[in-house]
Amino acid sequence: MIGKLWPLLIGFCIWAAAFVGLYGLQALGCVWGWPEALHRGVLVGVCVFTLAVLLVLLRWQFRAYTANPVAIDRAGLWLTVAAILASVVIFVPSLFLSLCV
Amino acid sequence: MSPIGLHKALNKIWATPPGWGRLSAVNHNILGKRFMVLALVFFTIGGVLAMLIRAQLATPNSAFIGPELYNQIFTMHGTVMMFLFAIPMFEGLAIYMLPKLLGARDLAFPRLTAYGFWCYLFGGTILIIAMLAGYAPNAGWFMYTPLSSGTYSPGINADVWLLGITFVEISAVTAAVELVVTILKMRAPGMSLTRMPIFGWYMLVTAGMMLIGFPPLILGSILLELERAFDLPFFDPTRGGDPLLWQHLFWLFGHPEVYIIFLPAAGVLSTMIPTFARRPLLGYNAIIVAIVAMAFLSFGLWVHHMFTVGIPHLALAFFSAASALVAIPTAVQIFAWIGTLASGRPKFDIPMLYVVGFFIVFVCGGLTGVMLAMVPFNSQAHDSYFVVAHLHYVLVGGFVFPMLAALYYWLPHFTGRRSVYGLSIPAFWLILIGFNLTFFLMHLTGLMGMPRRISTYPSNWGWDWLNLLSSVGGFLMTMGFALVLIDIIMQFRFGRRAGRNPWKARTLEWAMPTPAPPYNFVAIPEINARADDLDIDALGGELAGGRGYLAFPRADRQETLGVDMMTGEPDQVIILPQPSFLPLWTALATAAFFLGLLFKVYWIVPVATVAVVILFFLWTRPLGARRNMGAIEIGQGRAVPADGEVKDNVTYWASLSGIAVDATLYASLLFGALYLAVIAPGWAEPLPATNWLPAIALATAIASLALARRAEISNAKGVSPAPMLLLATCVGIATTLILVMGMAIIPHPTSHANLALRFVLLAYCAVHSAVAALLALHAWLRCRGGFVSSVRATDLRVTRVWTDYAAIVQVPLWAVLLMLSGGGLR
Repeated sequence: MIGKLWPLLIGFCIWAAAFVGLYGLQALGCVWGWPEALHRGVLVGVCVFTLAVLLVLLRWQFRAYTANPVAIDRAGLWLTVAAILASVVIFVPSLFLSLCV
Repeated sequence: MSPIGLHKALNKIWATPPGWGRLSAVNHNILGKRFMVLALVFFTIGGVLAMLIRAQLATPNSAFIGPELYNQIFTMHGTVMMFLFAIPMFEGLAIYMLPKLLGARDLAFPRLTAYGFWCYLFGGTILIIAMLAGYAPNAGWFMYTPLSSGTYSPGINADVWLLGITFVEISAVTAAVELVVTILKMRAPGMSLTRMPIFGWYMLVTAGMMLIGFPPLILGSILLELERAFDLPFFDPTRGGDPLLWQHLFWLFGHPEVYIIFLPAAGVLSTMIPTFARRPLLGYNAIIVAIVAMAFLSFGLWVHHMFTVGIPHLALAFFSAASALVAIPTAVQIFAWIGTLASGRPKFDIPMLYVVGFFIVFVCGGLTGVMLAMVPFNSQAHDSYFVVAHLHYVLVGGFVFPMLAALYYWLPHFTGRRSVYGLSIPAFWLILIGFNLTFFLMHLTGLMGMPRRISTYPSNWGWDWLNLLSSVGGFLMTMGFALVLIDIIMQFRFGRRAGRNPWKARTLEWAMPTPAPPYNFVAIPEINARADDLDIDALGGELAGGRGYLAFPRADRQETLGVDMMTGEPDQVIILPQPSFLPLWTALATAAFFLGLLFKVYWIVPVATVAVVILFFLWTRPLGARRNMGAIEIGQGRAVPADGEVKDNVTYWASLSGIAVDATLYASLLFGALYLAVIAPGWAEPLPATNWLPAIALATAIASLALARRAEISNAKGVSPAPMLLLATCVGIATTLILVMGMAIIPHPTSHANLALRFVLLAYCAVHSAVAALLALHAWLRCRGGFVSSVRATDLRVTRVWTDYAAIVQVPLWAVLLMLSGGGLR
């Protein structure tokens, strides 16, 4: 059942996984005493990877929608766009804010 | 058959018996109204508590209420309003209204609705009786540790909260499961998801959020009760625990909870505003996108309640940005409503007064929410009256005002009568003015430094007149609510007859007589357009005349239709259970379980557990058939199978929804284990390694899984699955015993959180192995009773799903046990 609703859920599920991953890695890096360059590099890497996955997903959803325009798919497309924007706004502090203070 | 004849015949099948038989009610009309009436009773109690708070704070150095009683009163005010009013109120509205909006005759699991209602009543009653006896919770409605831990709250007060609220939350979880399944599977034929009325979308998203949002709170309550009752130190920093774990678990629930409360109210607005604007809702698709986005984002905000606990800047920034961002999908809805009104031909009536009140109050609350999302401002305003003002603007603006609008909008549906306007208008103005006088001024008292939860204050700090005016406003608002109550009574007594569709609405709930008959629709309609833009006056006449699906009584069965989730094509006839006392007895046994824990009479707990299991076994006795029925005629020249003979039925999907709840609880527990392993103090000392019993349990759980799957395959081939099921039961019991042995040989689990975590993780897996064994036993009994065939295989599918789950949860168990044996992640 949930499988048929996947266009609505997939974008933000990826966002949620990245959100939890970043929050966890931020804490682990501090506890394990990672050098700042490594710590920030890992976090930025997760951000970039998340955005790349979301962009690929968006492209795929766009193609699927143009081939067979269904209202649910259109809503899913916009939700993936929203997930990309949310990822940019929420994850961008990984680039510059202090990591463990 | 004539329309009157049809009505009488259907009414006979769907009616609830009179007298004591009313306690056996399972019909959603009755239970929805009971939920709402009980929620209003609790709202009144919460309101009286608020008046006591305002009486105490009206003047400085007040001796009206002492600090201990004041602590109980403000704790109970928050608890009652959040858990006993807001959530059950929208649940009641959804239980009553959703089947009507969707074109169904009832919800998917009527007895579960009744069980949820009794749990709500009994759980709420425990809290209120405790308060009257002077043992109310007193550590604040979010029960922060260590204040709520045994050391600082040694009495029964905190246990009342933890156990009472967990008892009440059973009703929230059961409601969520059945709302999700009902919305996806029980719509009128032709009502594809994209034709669903917008309220259906709102409730689908809300119920989905409830499935994920409530388990962290339930887990937190279980862990804290385990700490208080059995000294397992999850939140004790002297023994490897961490009080902040409670805050994480609470707010993982607590912040999505705000949106869980707001979204149904927003759904009400999206349903009413088009009626009064006399045009379809603007931006239907944009609203769907907005509410799904809002649901996800709302789970990424919880730490904004914890900005001042000492979290690194980067983590603060994640939650601050998410907290600000969630305003955007909220704004999309606000602009859609304004656009609908602006582009329509709005007419004003009582519900619209409250809609306007909502706009004013909620937008203010949203703006102060964005202010509080900013870390520097939050650090200044934290735990001050500014936060009290903000949360009341959001919750009263975002829930109470829309619910008052809904009350006036749908009261003709409950009563069949129109409002008596003489009282409605002054009531609105008293509430609006009283509310703003009370709470707007609290922004100022907060900015002037008044902390929340103080029982009194000195007279020379400049807060005197603000508090006095807030108290005056509070009493004005109470007068307004009293007038609303009188107005409702007047409407029942003196209101003029309303007719079928008094507001000229275009949604299905008005296409039936009012008050609604127990079966809702004489005939279930075929929907060919978006279901919030229908010609209701024409449709109502057609349905009353029996033109539609299932427009006939058959074999005294309560029948409604199940449809394909996406397209709305009918694919099954759902045969619903008749009125039954079993939900009441099961809830009473559940109450005995919780009371045994509360009063520490622990011998009652296993007895009550066995009673609950036996009673749930009895639930399935009247369900199912001993022969295959094949395709059943549903009218309009069509025939579909009964629900027991299709794979895609509501029972199966309810099991999956239940697993979603359970898996979220387990994920929260794993999060707790990882959190303590990374963050908590006192993890340096060496601890004993894990024993190997969980590895044996994993092997037996996989064997049980294989047997359950084998049983299903055998059954599909026409071979009796009974031997395999009996074997799966035995292996499941063996798995449970092995895990219990694993728990028993953990040395001193009270000595350190590391060992307590191992103990509780093993307990979780043992409980689930026991559940899988019980389901296999139940499926075996159903086979023996002749209820299972190669077509009627729901019992086997449900058993297989839960056996799979019981095995899968042991994989992360093993990994986490190894991690804990290694002393955590440091």
